[in-house]
Amino acid sequence: MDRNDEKGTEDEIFLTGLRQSLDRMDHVLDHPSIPSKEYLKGHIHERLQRRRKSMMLELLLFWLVSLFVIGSGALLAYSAPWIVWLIQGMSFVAAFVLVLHFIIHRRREDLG
Amino acid sequence: MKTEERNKVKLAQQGDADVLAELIHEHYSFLYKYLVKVTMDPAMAEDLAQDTILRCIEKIRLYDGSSSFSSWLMTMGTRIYIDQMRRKKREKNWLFKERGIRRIRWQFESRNEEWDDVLESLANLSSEHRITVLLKHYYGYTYEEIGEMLSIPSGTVKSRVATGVRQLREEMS
Repeated sequence: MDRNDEKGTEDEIFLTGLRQSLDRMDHVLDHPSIPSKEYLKGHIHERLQRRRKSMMLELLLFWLVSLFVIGSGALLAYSAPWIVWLIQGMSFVAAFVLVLHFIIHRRREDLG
Repeated sequence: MKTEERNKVKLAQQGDADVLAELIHEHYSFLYKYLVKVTMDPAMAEDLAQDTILRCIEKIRLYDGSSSFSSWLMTMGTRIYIDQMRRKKREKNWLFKERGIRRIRWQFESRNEEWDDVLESLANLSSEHRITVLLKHYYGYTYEEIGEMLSIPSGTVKSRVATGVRQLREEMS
């Protein structure tokens, strides 16, 4: 038996002991206070209802914000189109600067 | 995954609260025992088991069935534990660790069982090594499966398991 085989066997003996100790631990540990099925059902119902409500609220808020954004955009486009073009232009420049910044940052990281 | 369990999961995903409650009830004890081994603290394990159940209720629709339901619960429980450890840096506080081990030792003593050196060494391992050793050598997962569970490469799992076993053996000798 070479050194590796010997070490492997020793490891296996040790791991068997570890598994036995952990099995013993499972038996010794107090049983957890498992929530009853009725309690769990009630809890699940409550969580699902709460989730449904929050989703409805989020959807409502989304629609309200969307309406506001679309409404103000349309109003702006009709009353002062140059402002719309200004916003578009500034957004484009800001996006371009950000992309450029990230490219330069990544190159510096790659070099360093 | 067994056909019966798969059917139950499907029903639970469709919003059947009774079936989901049954599934959770069936797996709770297993989950708790796993979390005690991971945390070496029965009180923390109970808190974590409850957090895991809450996450399970919220995420049941996202469960894809690629692993067994118990493995999915174990994955969530482990990730919650790791997150809590990172956020609270609890492990650095040796008082927490000592208190947990004392609770388990007390349960051993109250049943006239011996708290052996192997368990003492396991409790002294860092949580990242303890988790990988447990998943590999007690629960029998492959390195790849453990990597997926912990979101780390399988090579890292392999090295953590080897280091963990080595440290355990060194402490024993």
